[in-house]
Formats: sequence, structure tokens, C-alpha cells
Amino acid sequence: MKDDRMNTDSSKEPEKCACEGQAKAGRRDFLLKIGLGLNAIAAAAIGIPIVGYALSSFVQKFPLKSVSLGPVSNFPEGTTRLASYRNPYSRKWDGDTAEIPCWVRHISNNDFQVFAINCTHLGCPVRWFDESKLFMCPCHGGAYYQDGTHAAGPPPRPLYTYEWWVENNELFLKGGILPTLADPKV
Amino acid sequence: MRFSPGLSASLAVLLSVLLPACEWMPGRPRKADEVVAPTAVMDFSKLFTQNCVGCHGAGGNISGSFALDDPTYLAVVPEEKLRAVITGGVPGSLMPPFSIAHGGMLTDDQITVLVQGISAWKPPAANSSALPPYSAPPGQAAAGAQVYETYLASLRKMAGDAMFADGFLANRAFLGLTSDQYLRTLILIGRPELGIPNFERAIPGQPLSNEQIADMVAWLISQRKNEFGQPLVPVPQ
Amino acid sequence: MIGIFRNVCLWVDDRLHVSKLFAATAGHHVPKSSGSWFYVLGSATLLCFMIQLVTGTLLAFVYVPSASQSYETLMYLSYEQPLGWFLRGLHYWGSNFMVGIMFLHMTQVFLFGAYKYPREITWISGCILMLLTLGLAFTGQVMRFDEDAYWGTGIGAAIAGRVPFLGAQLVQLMLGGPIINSDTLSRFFTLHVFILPGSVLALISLHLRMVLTKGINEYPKPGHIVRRETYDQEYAAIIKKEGVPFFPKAISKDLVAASIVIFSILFCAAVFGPKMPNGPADPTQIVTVPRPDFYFLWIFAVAALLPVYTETFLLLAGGPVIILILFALPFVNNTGEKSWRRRPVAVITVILIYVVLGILTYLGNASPWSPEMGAWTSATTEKSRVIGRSPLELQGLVLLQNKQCRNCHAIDGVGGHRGPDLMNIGTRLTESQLIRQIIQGGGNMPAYGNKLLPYEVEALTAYLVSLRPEGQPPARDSSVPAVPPKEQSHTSLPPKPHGES
Repeated sequence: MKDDRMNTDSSKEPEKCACEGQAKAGRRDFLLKIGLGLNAIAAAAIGIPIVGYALSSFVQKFPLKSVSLGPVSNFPEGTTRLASYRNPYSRKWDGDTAEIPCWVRHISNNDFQVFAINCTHLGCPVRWFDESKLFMCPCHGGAYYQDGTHAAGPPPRPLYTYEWWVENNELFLKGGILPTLADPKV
Repeated sequence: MRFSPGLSASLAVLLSVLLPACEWMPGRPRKADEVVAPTAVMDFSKLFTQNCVGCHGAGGNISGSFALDDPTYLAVVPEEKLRAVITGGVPGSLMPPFSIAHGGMLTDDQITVLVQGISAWKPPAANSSALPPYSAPPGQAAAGAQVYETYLASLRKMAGDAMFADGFLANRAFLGLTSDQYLRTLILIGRPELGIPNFERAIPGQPLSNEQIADMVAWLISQRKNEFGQPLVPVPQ
Repeated sequence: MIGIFRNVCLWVDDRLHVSKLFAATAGHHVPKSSGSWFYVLGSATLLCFMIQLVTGTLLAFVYVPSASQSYETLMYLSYEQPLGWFLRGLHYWGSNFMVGIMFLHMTQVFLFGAYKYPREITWISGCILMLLTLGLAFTGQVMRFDEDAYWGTGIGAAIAGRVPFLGAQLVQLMLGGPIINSDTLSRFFTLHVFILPGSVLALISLHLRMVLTKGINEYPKPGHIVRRETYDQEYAAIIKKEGVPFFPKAISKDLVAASIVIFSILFCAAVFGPKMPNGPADPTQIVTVPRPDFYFLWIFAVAALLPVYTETFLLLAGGPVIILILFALPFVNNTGEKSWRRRPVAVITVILIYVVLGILTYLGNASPWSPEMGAWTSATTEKSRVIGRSPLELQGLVLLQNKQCRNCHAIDGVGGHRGPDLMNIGTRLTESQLIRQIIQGGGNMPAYGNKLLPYEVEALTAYLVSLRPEGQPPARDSSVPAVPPKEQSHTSLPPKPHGES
């Protein structure tokens, strides 16, 4: 019973609206335009910060920062050793991923080469083999000579190298980004 | 609404059967199978098969270099020497360093596991005091030539011809690639798995004396030639 | 009593329009011929997604998407949380079944011509669902934040880094910063649990909506041609003549299939268990062999096998081209024959795709192009390859290990498979050819010229020449006249005896 009454109530409403005058229709059109316009502005106002937040890492610049690899004595002359540095852009909750490995080749005296761990093919970690003086990649079989030049396999370029310098018998490099073909200057 | 006691009881029984049943399901991961970092592997046989068998062999496996379970070798080699060689390798020879500090992959604890595991193969009856020492300075080259000839003639009767075609131990390339200690070790322990007996049985009825071995090593060293101007293997201190 | 109950039901139905909803959805009429075993794959895929939603939500009770803690929470889930391992197993196997059944569904739709007029949008929404599902699978394996996840993300970044002009920015967008860290994990987590599942839900509504508005494809009859002008009437006639309500007339096979899928997932989770992480994502731990989950192994294989100069182009353009072909398919091939019995090209295409994907997956799993990093210290050698060798040749064998030759070259199948097996190398290359190959490299072998001492080359070749079947002479220079094998065995051995006197 109750239902029926409610149904009739609601069915009356459109009738009431239909008998309003032209002026009201014009006002409603105007209101609609205002409503749409205001919402367009509001959408932009809310959308710009949202898109800006979501794409922040897309536009942000991450300049390289200097980090220490420790005393030069850690790298005996004539050897290539694994070293690691704390990523300058790391967060407190980064755990193990904050520590970034690299290969340090001490050629002689104050002459070094510091290679990124990432294969230039698809970024897998290359491993140094001192006996054959080769870096080998476990993913697709890339190999590099001791100076980082291409020896075999699919890598399109030599190993990525860091800019390094020695200060007070300490080895420094400029690091902080994942080297890729688009941004090979680590 | 309440469950009848019978329903509750059977539910409880079902749960108590099902939940522990999950314990022994084959898919349940076992803590023992958890992946450990390579530096945390402490199992001797795993470490040995990953790091040693390529060149050394053991337990019936044979390879290019002597077997590490060779009873003569284990009887003469001091444990500390074993550790030093695994840790830092033998510079100028083909034995690479294995410790992380020397550019290898193993921690000191892992090397301890290897040293202990290899030493544990030592036959209990071995009496090392009766044997020639593991290392000794080279003796007289002139006397060594004589001994080597007898040694070689005796070995030729025991092992196949193919092994002697290129000069055996006196091959100049072989000498260029091996340390003095390696020559001594080879004569001491032989390669029983390849038909070359150790110093006791190399010449039947006539065990080689420490002096004879040292003389032979001295003669072999004198045969090293530096034809290509390449660095010769340094004499170990 | 019954009267009151009836009234309540009518009231609820009036407010919620349940019966109309039912008639428009589960009760809608489908061609009787679509009640076929081939038609259960779509609902089975949907079922898998439901399982993924439930198990995934429950896993999120415990899982923490943080680079410092995700691994620990996974360990807790797998070992301590009651039934945590089982839920992980259900989620893992649910994803495998979802990807598998989805591709079977897609194959069936393709072979039955269901993408043709008027179901173009159904096909395209299905293609987008396929991409979203693969996205869920990829981001899902990153949730198992282990070595494979870390380096797999690195591979993704390296591919993004090949995009011209925008590469560097895209890498940063993908990683959420300049390098792989916790931000990267959080980003993939957000994709995996919010953005992609939400998009899948939206697309599923569209996909099912299209099934309702344009009807399910009738079981195609060979020789029955689809024409834009007549198809709608024909389909209406089919529904009118032999239409049955989906529920309860056509759903029985879907129900049976659904239970089979659930039992299979339960079985796999209980017997094979979840995939365990292979060690925490610690980039300094480089003793690792990164491999993707099996549904991406074929891409992994493609990346290894493409010629270098085609690689960037094909890695970047391949995906969009495949997607474009899939999207264009219903428009290019809008009408005509539906039955696979009259569409040999479609059948051959499907067989070809499955064979190629199968072979690539097999190769990706075996990855013969990868050096075996530990072979140089762990690859054993058969007794027959050691016995009877001179000290120099034995030293050659030690060199073969020491110089990491075994990482790429097997002997009797043991070792790496990047280069040829060396078991019979002595019959194929002469001593001087071997020296040339070792010194200069070539054919994808690095040059060892400045890494080997002359004595080392001598020992290596002496051993390699000795690697040949019993009784077979070594390879010989064709410009030198053949000599009887007896003398040959002596002349072929390189160094002249020195010490014998």
C-alpha cells in the first residue's frame, strides 16, 4: 500500500516542472553553463596537482652526487674489485636496495676505471672473472674486456663508467642514477 | 541461533584434522629450503662441488689437477698451508685465490669449512712424520737428472705410452706453467687415479728419499727455459 | 506465514529490480549451440580473477610493500602465518591459471570468429583485458621482491631507456626516481593492487555488457557467412528459435569447468606450493641468474636472440605493432566465414604462434646463450677425458677451467652452452686453427690474445687436440699430405720432448 503512494508522488514531479515558463528554462540553461564552467575550472584545479604528483618523477631532475668508495688501499693495483656505495637518493626504508654495487679497476697509481654493475644490454649484473680478464653477464651472454669494451654477445656499447677522482687517498665517484642507454652518464 | 553440540564437535574435529594436514602437504615451503646468500653457504659438500671439483676432483671424480682426497697429499700437507693456498691462491700458477679479500667469492668461515672438510678425508692411520716433508728447498740438479731417468723409466712400464710422448714432467711448457712446489707435490703424491704411483711405489721396492725428490725438482727447475720472454713461475718462499 | 514471506520478496524485488536484473543478465537467452565446452573458458578466466582478488586482498593483510621489509613479510607469510603459504600458493597458481586460460579463451574466440561483426568492441575490450592481465602478472612478480624482481625491474628500465628522446624520463617514471628502490616497489604495488585490478574490473563490466547487448557468438557452422546487412536478424532468429536462458540451461558446463579450475588451483597450491623468493633484493649480491616467471620467458629469449641492430626497434615497436594488429583484426576481417574449418590461415596462425612461443619459452628456460658462471670451478670432466693425458695436457685441462672456458663451453654436455661443446674439437680444428681461434676470438668468442701466455696457449691446444673419440686422428691441415695414423699421433703432439736423454 505504502509503495503505491510513493510511486504516484514521484510520477507527479515531471508534470510540475513541465508547466514552468520559458524564463525558468533560460535560467536553467545559464545555470548549466555556469555549472559546467565552474566544474571545468575545478577539474583543472584538482587535476593539475594530481597529475603533477603522479608524473613528478617523470619531470624531476636527479643530478649526480659525489659518494665515497672508501680508501684507495681497498683496491690493490692491477686488480678489479667489487665495491659499493650508498645511493645518495636512498630512503630510510630502502633496505638492501640502498647499497649500489660497482666494479673498480685500479690500473696503476692514480689511474682507475669505475664501471657500473649493469650490463649495457638489459641491465643485469655483470661479474668480473680475473683469470680470463672478462666481465660476463648472466642474462643474455654479454661479455666485456677488462677495460669495459665489448667482447661478445648482444651489448650495444661498452660498460657504463662512473666519473671518479681521488682525494686524500679516498676514491670518490659521481653516482645516484640507474644507467640506461638513454642516460649513460652515471 | 546456536550450533548443535554434534555440529560444533564435528567442525572442531574437521578443523583439527585439516589444519595440521597442511603441515605435511608437499607444497608447504620448508625453512630448510630457504634460499641463503652464497656467502652464507656452510655445507662442505656444496662448497666443495661449487668451488673445487672443476680442477681437483675427489671421491672418484678425476680432473686436471691432483685429487684433494689423495691419502698421500692429505698426509703431507699442513692444514695451514691448505688454508693459505685456498685463501690467496698460488700467485703465478693456475690456483686462483678464493677469499673475498683476494678478489674471490668465499668468506674466511667458508674457507675454514673447506679446510676442515678436506682434512677430514685424511686416513686415520696416516703417520706424517715418516713421510718426506710437504715442502723442501730444491737439491742438486746434476744428481736429479739421474734419478729422473730411473723414475721415468719405471713409470713408463706402469702407465700408458701416451702420457710420456711430450716429455712428461720435463716438458718445457709444463715447467713454465707450474710452481716448484707443484712439481714436488706431483712427485710426492703421484696421480694414482691416472696410474702414476706416489713416491713410495714409483720405483718398485725403492721409495724415493726426500733428497732424491729435491734433486729431481732441482733438475726439472733447471730445464725451465724462458724462450718467449714470459715471466717464469716464481719460486715460493 | 508463506504469504508474508512472498510479500517481503515482492517488496525487495520491487525496490531492487532483482528479477528484471536477473532476466537481463544471468537469465538472458543464448543460442543453444553456445552451451559448449569450448565456451567455458571466458567464465573460467573470470573465476581465476575472482580468486586472485580474494587471495590478493588477504595477502595484503600481512604483506608490506617496502624494500626493507617486503622480504621479511613474505618469509613470515610463507613460514609462520597460519595458511599463509597456502594463500600464497593459491595466488601464485591462480595467476598461472588465469594467464593460461585467458590465452586459451582468446584462441577459442579467434578460431570461432567471435570477433567479427557485431562484436568488435567485445574483442578489443578482451585484448585490453589481456594486456592488463599481463601487467598484473609482471607487477605481481615484482611483489615477490627478490633478486629476480630487482633485476627484472632493471630489465624493464633498460628497455624503457631505449625509447628515443623520452627514455631517461620514462625510466624515472617507471622507477619512481633515479634508481630502483623502495619507491619502485611502492609504485608497482599500487599498480598491482589498485590501478590494474580496478581497470580490469571496469573492462570486465564492458566486456560482459557487450556479451549481453550483442549476444554470445553462436557455435559457427562451416559455410555460414556473416554479412553486416543480415547478421542481426539471423542472430535474433536463432535466439527466437533455439534460445535458452543462460541460467539454468547453458551454465552447467561453466559450473563443471569452474570446479575443475578451483580443484586444479587447490591441487597445485597444495602439492607444488607457492613460488618462493630466490633471495632478498640485494643488488650487491651479484651471484645471481635473473630469470622472469614463465610467461615472460619468451620475451627474455627474444632479447637474447635478436640481432643487435634490430633489437631496440623490435623491443620497442614489437609490442605496439602486435597490439595494433589485435585491435585492427575485427575491422580488417569484419565479415565472412566464422568456422575455423573454413579458415586455414587462422588455424595456421594459431599453430605458428603457439609453436613459436613454445620454442622461445623452452629456449628462455634453458637459456643456452648465458655463460654458466660457476662452471669454471664446478664442471666435472669425464674420466676418459683425463686418463692417459700427459702432464702438459692435464695442465691444459686445468687452464680450460681456470680461464673460464667451461663457462661457455661444455665437455660432454657439462658446462656452459654458449659456445660449441668441446668433446670432439680435436677432430674439427687443427692445432694452428685452435691457436688462431683462442688468440683472436671471433664468432662471438672474446679474444684471449693478451690474456694467455704462450705456454698457456700451448698447454690448452695440447689438451684440446686430445679431445676426440678413441682411435680417430686429429684434424689436419688440408694442404699437408695425409700421413699414416701411427706417425701422425706423434707429429700432432705439439711440444718436442726436452727432458728425455
